[in-house]
Amino acid sequence: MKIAKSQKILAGLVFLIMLALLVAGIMGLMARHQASTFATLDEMRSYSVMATAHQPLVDQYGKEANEKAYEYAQANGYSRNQRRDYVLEQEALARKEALVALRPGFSQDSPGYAQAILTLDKELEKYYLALDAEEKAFLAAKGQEAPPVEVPVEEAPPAEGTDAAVMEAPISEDDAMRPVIDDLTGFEPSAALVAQKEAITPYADALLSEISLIHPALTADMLAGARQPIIDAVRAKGDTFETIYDRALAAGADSVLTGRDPLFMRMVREAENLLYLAFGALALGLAILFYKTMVKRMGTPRFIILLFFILLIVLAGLYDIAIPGMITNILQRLGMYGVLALAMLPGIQSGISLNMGMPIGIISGLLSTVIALEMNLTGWGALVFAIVVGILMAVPVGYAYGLLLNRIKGSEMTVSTYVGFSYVSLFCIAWMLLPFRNPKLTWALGSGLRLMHNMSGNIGGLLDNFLRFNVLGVSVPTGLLLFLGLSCLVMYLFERSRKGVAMIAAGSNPAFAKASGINVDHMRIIGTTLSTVIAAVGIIVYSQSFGFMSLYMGPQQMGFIAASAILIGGASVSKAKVFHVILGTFLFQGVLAMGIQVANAMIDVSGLSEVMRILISNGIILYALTQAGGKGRD
Amino acid sequence: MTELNRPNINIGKHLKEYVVTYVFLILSVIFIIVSGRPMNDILFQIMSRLVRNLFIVLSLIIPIITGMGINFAITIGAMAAQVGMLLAINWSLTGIAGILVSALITVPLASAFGFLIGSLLNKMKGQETIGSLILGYFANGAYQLLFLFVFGMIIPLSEKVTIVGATGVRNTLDLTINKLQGAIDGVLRIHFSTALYIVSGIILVGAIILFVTKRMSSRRFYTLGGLTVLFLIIYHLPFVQPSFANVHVPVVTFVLVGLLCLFNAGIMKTRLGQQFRAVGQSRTVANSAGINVNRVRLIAIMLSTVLAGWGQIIFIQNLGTLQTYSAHEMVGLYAGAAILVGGASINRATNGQAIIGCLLFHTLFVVAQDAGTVMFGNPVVGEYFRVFLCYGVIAVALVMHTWRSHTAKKKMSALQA
Repeated sequence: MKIAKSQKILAGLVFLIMLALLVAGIMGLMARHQASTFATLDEMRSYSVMATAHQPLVDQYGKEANEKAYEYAQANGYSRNQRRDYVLEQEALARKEALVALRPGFSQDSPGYAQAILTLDKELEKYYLALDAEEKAFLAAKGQEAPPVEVPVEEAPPAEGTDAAVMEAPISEDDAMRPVIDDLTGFEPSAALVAQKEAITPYADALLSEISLIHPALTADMLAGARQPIIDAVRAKGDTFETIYDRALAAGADSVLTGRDPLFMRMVREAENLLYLAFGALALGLAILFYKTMVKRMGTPRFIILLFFILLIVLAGLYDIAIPGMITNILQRLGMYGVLALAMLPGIQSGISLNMGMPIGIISGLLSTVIALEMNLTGWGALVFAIVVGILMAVPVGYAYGLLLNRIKGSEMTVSTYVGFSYVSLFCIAWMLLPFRNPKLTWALGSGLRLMHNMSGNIGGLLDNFLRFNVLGVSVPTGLLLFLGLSCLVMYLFERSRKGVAMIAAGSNPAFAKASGINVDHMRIIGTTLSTVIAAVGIIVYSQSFGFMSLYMGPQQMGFIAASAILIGGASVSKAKVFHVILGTFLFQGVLAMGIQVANAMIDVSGLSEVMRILISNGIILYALTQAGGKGRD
Repeated sequence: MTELNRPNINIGKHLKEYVVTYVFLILSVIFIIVSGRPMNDILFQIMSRLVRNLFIVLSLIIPIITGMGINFAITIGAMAAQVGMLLAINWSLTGIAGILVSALITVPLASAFGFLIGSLLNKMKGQETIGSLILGYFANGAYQLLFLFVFGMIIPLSEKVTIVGATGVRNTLDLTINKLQGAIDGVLRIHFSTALYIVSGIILVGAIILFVTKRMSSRRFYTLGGLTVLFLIIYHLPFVQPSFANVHVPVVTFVLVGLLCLFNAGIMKTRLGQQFRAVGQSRTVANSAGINVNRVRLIAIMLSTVLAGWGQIIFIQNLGTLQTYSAHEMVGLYAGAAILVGGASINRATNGQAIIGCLLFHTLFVVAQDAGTVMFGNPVVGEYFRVFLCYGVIAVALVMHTWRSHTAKKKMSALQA
């Protein structure tokens, strides 16, 4: 494909920027190991330590000014608002003056002071290393015990009375997917560690006395009060080059640098971010250069999603989101949704296009799981029971559903969407009325199954934790991924079997298939049944991984999520491969998983990820529909 | 319509076509009896629901006639209207002025959205129903984005509609503060009996004039006159009249609904209306007749979107609160289900079907919950039953329609062979 001149120029510019970013980033990373950089950082730190020590004095000046201003305002009969404004203004002024007045008091020539900081720093570093090691050991020991069983679902019957009978599930996936914050409750430092902490005291005292030498105005009381902040200013837990630099910068340390240039220090600090940006620029440049080819091969939406994926990677880097945790998250989601997305495959191949009636299969899976729970089954027995019974129940339902779809050829998507919705709402009634008696499952008051069911203690995490291992901080849910791989392999083999080939032929060209003696209707039923069965298995896998099972309106949107996954992977409404399932689920869930974390890091609002899911999921389905609509053109 | 091409009324065929309507009628009667709610309460509820929903349901007719199925993307029109209302509240407009401004803002917004919807639906001919449904979902995402992150953060709004210290527009906007609640309904409210007399009077006088000037067939005149008189007599039966004691009719709203009915009927007599019908019957034929099919479809959707937006304004001013993030979500579903209950199909709909459908659907909606409580001892079951009714009606109508057109096609090809 020809590349326009403007494209070349633009891409060239972007590549130049990328090169500059790359060079700056590498230089910055290298400079981190140079002595002069360290010296400058030390200089900045000694400034920020002193600024912290000043704080009580500044506070004192501010307070005095505040009181004086208050009396003055009182004497001159200011109104309440005027007084407040005046007082605040005077206090701010006094604080500013105090800072200016104190600044000359900072002497870089005091060798005792600089030395005291360095010694204290070394001791603190040793202590924090030991502390980290102990905490890690504590967490590892705790992890082997059984995880605490939480029951966040409260026993309240669903609200009633509104027009919209939409009930939000009490637990959103976003919450469940948030990285686990290490729970350190019950952690006790060892005696050696306590002694080590005690040993730091004299070094801190030495530093404080050095400070009082430089700055006699600071009373012992003031210094004692500012003791911990001063120690933290020297080195806090988990400090890196970036955090020390940021802290010093916040104290205004860049104004007094004598060693390195402030801008250079900034570059050193941002070195990693510069590299991330360089990566982003590289992707952008390539995207500009091969825009046309990529859009043609992938289609606009997939191209946008791919760019978005890369953008999220860059942003995740910029916002310092832990990469191992993110990969863990994406792998988990891939396994969780993979089988559900796979359910779309036989539907598309057999010619019923996107099986939006997937909730029909899902409900079979939910029902079998509920039956397993009702019988108080746990562990692998429960999982195998749920899967086997789920499949057994899905076959007749899928068959009947296939018969229906054969009668409405051409409008499968429209009809199946509403048939699916109806089935879901019909089962809402069924969940209320079916004779389940196990008190773990039903509402405490009245009858009917609860909205959400906790999977922990029965099948929760069985596949996920099967042969789970950690590598480079990434926790791999081996069993889950193996199950997905196995399911895909089975589908792949089926595609190549006699029946599978016939089914795909019937789907891609019904007239031709009919002419070659294939029973098209029969093949469509096989595809529909298969799709329904896989959906039933998929929801069980999903629930055990998610940790909760959501009944009632829970399955309604599942069809859309699965459909968009396979479409993002490159499938169309009439053609699909196993590869599309894997790639699509990875991209879609990757974008969602990263999006949640990046959005949380950027702005403190919830709901953005849900909006993103809605836009991506429905956008890709719309695109697929417009592509398919080509047949119906006049 | 002359006497000659009036089709013979075939009861079997009629029943087949209106099976959903009759099922709903029977269900309604059973549920009203089972629910045990006092009749005047039910009628009061039904009236307020009719006021709220009729306009929106009527906005579905034009796209159906144009062969674009149920336009579930009317949710987007509703979103446009909600933006309008939000701005009106933001600017502290009150009463009728606020309503008029929101209605005015709705027009360009909804037309623009309608243009986009129509352009997209033109690319997925034959899949419009599902396409518009998913488009509605998609737009909902964009709407959330707009209200959560753009309004307040990028476009500044007053504290009346935002929460200080948080992002985005408030969850619920109270319309009573701005006197927007009932701004249309409240202009003139008359008792049901008064309304009945006035409407009957107009119908009778109109019918007599038309009959005398020989513009109405005698058969039609007698049916119309007879029905009107029958209604009046029924109303005066001793156990009927008290049931309407609480029912008041907001005149202006119903005049608006009436105007929309006239518009729907009138536009069919224009050139554009004929084009709607032609495109709806066969795109290929319309195309060969020199009609710009895509343009006609675009106009139909734009009209529907704007009308639905106005309908949503009527809905919200009647309700009195604007649920900022969810008020639009169910619009398409309820309106679509209502018109299908009235016997409309994917390619055929009339004002009468819309009105009857709306009446039956909302009757069942009002009593389903209580009936559920009585039958299953659980109000939640009734609630779910209502949801099931919505989806079920649409599913059944879609299946029946596709099924029928398949059989018709088979018959056609059999005849040709």
